Amino acid sequence: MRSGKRATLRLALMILAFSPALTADTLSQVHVQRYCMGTMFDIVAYHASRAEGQAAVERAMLEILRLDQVMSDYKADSDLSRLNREGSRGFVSVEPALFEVIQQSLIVSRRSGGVFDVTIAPLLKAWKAARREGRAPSAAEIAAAKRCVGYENIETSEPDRIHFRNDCVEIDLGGIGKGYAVDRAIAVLKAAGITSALVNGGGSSIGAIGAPPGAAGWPVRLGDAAAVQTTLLLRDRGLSTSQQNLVPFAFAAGAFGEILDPRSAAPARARMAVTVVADSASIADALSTTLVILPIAEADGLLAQFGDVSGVWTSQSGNLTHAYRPSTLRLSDAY
Amino acid sequence: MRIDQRRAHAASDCEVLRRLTACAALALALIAPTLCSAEVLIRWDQPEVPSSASLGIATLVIPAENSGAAQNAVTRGYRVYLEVAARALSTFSPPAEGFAGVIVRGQASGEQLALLRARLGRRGRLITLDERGKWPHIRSNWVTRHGEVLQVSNRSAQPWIENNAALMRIVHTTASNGGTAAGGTPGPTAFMTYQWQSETQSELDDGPDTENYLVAIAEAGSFGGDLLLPLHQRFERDLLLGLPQAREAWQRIRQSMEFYSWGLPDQSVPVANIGVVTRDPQAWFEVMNLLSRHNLPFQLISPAGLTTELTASLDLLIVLDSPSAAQFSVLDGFAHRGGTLVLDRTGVAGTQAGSVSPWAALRPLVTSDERVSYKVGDGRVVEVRKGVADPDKFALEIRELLGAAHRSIDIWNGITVIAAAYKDPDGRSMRVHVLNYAHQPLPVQMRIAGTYSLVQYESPEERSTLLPYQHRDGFTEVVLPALRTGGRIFLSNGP
Repeated sequence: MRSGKRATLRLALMILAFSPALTADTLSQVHVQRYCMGTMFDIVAYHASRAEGQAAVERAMLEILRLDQVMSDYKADSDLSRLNREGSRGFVSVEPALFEVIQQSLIVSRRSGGVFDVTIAPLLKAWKAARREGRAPSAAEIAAAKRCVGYENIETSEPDRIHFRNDCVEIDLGGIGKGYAVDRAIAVLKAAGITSALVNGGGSSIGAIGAPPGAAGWPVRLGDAAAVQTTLLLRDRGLSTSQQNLVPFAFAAGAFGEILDPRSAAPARARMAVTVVADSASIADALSTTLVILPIAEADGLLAQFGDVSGVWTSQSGNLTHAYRPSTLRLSDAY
Repeated sequence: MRIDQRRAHAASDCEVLRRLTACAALALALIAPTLCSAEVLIRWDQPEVPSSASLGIATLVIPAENSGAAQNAVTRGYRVYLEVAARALSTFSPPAEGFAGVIVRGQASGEQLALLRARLGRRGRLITLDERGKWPHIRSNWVTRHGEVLQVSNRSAQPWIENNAALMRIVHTTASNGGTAAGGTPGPTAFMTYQWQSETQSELDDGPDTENYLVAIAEAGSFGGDLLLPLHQRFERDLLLGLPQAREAWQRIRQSMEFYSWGLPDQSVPVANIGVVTRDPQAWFEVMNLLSRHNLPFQLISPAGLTTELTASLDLLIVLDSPSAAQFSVLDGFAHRGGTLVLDRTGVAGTQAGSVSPWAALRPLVTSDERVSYKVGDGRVVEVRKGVADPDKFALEIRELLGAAHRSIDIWNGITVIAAAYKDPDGRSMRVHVLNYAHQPLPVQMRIAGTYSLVQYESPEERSTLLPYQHRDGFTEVVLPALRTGGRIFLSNGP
């Protein structure tokens, strides 16, 4: 028995000794770009076989394209559009991925006390409609939209059924969908045996498997400010960055931005960029959106509920202004 | 008839017109663009050349130093343009016969060009290259530094489209204003070229995708620019070997070139209801670039050319230079008649002597750190206090100021689509070129100003077909089921 173990060990050592080292020289890099979900997705992977790597990356990209068809709120034939149309009539069976991403969003909604809320769509529509006329929505328009907003109006039933308790609920997955797509692509790559890959959804949502050959992680620079550049190394984690983009009205007081605070029914005013690193890109996505709305004083309390997560706040000029568990991020200004 | 033969006739007509140009203006006239075409020429770099029959085109551009390839191409029946660097012009001798002309790369003086023109005589065209163009594509957050791949993480934003629509518009305007740009320097020709920049490893290995070439051709055709299209060396080698994939890709490229060879009639007028007033378009290039990117077609106006007549057809004016007293008077009249005027106040602050803003004494509607707005007559004035820090935001603000009722084109579900509308000479019809930079088919919903009863759509891949439409509030609404790269919509009210 012992001699059998020794033989196995010797064999394993011989295989290791004669295996080519996994370096950039022996691995092929495969890189595919595709426009999807209103942005460019990049997937890069390293693999000993270029053909196998290419096939895995293509499968992962197809999964992202498929999820766009599931989660899109502007494609009339998407699963989400069907849910938005029929959800208030009774329980609707939905595509498993849609069920899962809504479940995840509800977790963040509950823990954030409704600051993150995927039922924000009617309020967002009211603001967009008013903005087209160069004004903020009226109190009556806000009140009408707010009646439809509230994550408590979403009722779920395992394994795949969803019901809206209110006849005007509409879901918008803009605060979590890209992150979820990144996670699903990562899952496809892992299932194909990929051990070094990165999925980038328009820069705002990123997921990493392992590290590039010979590196400790995938370098990610936070923000595009030229003066100050903070870089972190991402490895087997998901990352998301959110920031409000406020555009002032020319002929009325106020401004419009796509991140709305469900409590005030108005655009979040903070201008800082918030980056969150978490186990999954979808949770990072939802949290970074939430943290643009929440005051920094309340942020640490929210993040503490999610265990192994980290956060970085940067000003418009690129200065790091606040961080949560920064020691886990391997921050540097090397790039 | 082959594409290049048709081009040759068109070029010949233009040549006749050129000969009528006074000798004193010869150099400028020669480098002014022929607005009658959106011509695409193919540059070839390999020493060997495939037969004209296999490529199915009659013209190639070959670097002058590759003399063997040039001679080979002439022997194989091509009309050949020799591409010569400006710095080599002093030693360059135009070939005796069999050449279509000379293309000059780099900055050549008017004197050099006039001399070359004289040496060329009637043996061929003379073209200069504008190398300010960018490889048209959607930029990603992919950056390579220190040999490593570096990601950049920032907020979600609309995809950034590198495109040449604004540059083509500026080039046309400066050329049609007498071939001179700001400062009296000779205006560039509309023949544009650019280098392919590899972003991904596969692009580095294999060259651009076929879609990259198709977008480049469609962009030149849609915005009326002439293009010298470089092929990737790997693609050229594969074509020489006759590899099936390369032949299939080339077939699509040729199909697209043929589609866009049916250019605009000479008298077609770009539809634009926004005026941009500046004497230095390059200084404000990003503003115009972002206007184009957000489908806000503009007309470039030099301050000296600012007249009441010129502004009569416009709904919004962006004034980027400090106006004179006379210009203030025109602008005030424009606002009083209901126009929206946007002024860069950093320019206004340095107003010319004796010129004071006519609305300075008015009570502002809104005052903020960044904007001061006034109601002036039936219109309005917005002063931009701190300059245009973010051209993208500025363009979106302009879109909002213009309002839905005054947008000549609105596009939904197509943030990767840029359109260009042209009024046809008959004044009763128009055509809209649409170009999708996303490399995958998109259903695109469009709203076009005017009510038309006949809407036809065609693309390189699809024959002309009637599109269903709806009229709403003075607009015609159509849906393009799957816009792949480029297409044309013809709108009219029947025969």
